[in-house]
Amino acid sequence: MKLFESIVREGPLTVIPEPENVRVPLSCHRPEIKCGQRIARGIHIGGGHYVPISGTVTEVHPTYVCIRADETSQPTPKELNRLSGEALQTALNEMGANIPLGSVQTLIVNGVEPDPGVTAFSHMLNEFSQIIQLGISTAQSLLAPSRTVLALENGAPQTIEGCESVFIESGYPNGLDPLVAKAVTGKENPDDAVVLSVGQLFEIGIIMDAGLPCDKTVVTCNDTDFVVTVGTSVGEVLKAANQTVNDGDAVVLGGLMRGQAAHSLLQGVSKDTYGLFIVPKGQYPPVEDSPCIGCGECISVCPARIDPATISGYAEFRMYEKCRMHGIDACMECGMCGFFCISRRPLLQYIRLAKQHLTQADVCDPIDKGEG
Amino acid sequence: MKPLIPTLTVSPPPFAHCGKTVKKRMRAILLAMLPAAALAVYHFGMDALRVMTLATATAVIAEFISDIVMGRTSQVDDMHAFTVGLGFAFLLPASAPWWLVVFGSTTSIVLGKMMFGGLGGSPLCAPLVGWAVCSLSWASHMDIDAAMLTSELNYPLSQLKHFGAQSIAGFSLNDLLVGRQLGGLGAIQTGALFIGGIFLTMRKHIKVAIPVGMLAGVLITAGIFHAADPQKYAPAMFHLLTGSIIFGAFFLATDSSSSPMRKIPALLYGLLAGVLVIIIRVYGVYPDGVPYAILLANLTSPLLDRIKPKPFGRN
Repeated sequence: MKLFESIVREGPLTVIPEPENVRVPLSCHRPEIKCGQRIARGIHIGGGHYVPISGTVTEVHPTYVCIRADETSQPTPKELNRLSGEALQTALNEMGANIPLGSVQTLIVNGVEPDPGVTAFSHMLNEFSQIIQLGISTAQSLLAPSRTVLALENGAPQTIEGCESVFIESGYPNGLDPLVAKAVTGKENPDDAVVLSVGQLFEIGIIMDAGLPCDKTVVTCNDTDFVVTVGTSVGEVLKAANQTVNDGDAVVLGGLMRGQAAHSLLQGVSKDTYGLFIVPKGQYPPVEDSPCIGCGECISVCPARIDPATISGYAEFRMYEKCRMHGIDACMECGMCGFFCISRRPLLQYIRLAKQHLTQADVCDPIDKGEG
Repeated sequence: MKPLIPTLTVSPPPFAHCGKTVKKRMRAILLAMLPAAALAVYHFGMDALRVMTLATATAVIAEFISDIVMGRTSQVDDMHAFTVGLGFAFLLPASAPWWLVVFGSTTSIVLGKMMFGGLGGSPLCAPLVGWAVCSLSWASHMDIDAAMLTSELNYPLSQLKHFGAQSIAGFSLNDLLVGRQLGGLGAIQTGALFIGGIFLTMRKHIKVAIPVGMLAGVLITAGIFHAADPQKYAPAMFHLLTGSIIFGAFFLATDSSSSPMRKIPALLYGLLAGVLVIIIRVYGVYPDGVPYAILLANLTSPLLDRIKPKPFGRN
């Protein structure tokens, strides 16, 4: 895989028809719905997940809910056009939009692809420009920025009316939100700027347009961009993209650097999924429990300027407080350290482990702070 | 529960990898050392081949035995032990007796690497540990002049040390580049090693700041001495192409565990090693000075590693 490849994909998006059965992923919630219940599109299941199609619930599980499509229940769209200000914001956030509160100086529209090999964002800018425009004007009305910036990869042709274009040096991880904010404002973690990705604005646009939570996402798979209904199984998307999966392969939702591995082909696509990749078994050297050899590759590529080698060493020995001293909070989880580690240490996994322990230690002092 | 078909592999991100592994890096380093090894055989014949094979074989066996003693799975197939053995052989005179080679190579691995927990743990460059122990224990066998009495070639650095800057007029830079000189059997193949070093730098297997810093340190310090008194001190280029400076800069000082990890510390570390080489050559008792200069610089690397930028967003 190339980290610095700019891919341009044009032409209409391929729409995968709404499936008969959807499986909405949940983040370990115990939803308030029962098997056999008739449910309309737009109902909140729990944890920011919404019913993408009207139908009958066929299975409820802490990690997913299955729904079979039928026409019996009708969704009730909200009249969002009449709302404004805080009322609109609350309504949008109740439908999963996640817009931060308050007014800002700069609104940054992050149009840089989130992961290498993904073209969903630039394709959305081309094909769904009206919906994204609607999303931007909504965000503008809520955040009242004095400057709206469209951040694009170097040489990208897209423009949006009323947005000043800023070009970001191409190559991963320059498109990460904090790095884009720095490139645009010149400050690291600026207080007066909000970064919204094209995916988020598309979601806001759809909510405004339909008055219902977002039920679609654009997914890059096998060099094609698909419009997919949330909850469509991974297997169906792969089938539409003519991809076959063999035993031992990894199927990745999102990108290869930051994504999440699917546990089965039945797993549903979530609204944040922008890519679907297969990593064939044996394509990359296997991750090993080997010691750090101190080569410094991870340090030289880390955009947060921290030392993943030392931090992972401390995490290995449960010295989590030391991880904090070495600036683990600055980590953006871009995955560059693990990509370049020649020892094949699971660096990002160690960092996430330490972060989780630190959060737990903060919540419930003094149970486990490690030995640091 | 029925099995999922197909069974998928799950892991945390990143799912891709650049493809470089420790084994591939060691292979690249060995490839970069190959021209120098070939030239060593050309100049010193079977003697050089004997020392190199003995040193590498001993290093590999010593690491394997250490792994058994330490009760852990051997990673000797990553070829690091082979590289250490060859690096140690490069520093020896071609006439080194077999027991010296075996002892030094074993010491390099046991004392320089395995004692600290294997690859990545050592604060010192492993081949230099073996070299230092041998040169303190059997000074006459490690002394290039004494060991290579029968050779037609000369040891330029001892000429410089004992007979002054006039005595080195006979060495042309071309001779030095192709290794027509005495010294460590591989370390003096400066031209071949320089090509190997450039190869490693281009393939990003070594931190470029270290050789740049070290060569700059040598050139600047030697240049200052030479400018102060050209009659007394040798020119900078002479220093650069004699002894094991090129070998040290590209192959020894860049050892991953004993060198600093960030750019600026690595540059300072290289500079320090370069300056120390010339100071040892001018004022010290050792004609070469590279091994001790790098060992001393190794000791400063944890300190230099404290020079680091603030994490993102902490300004």
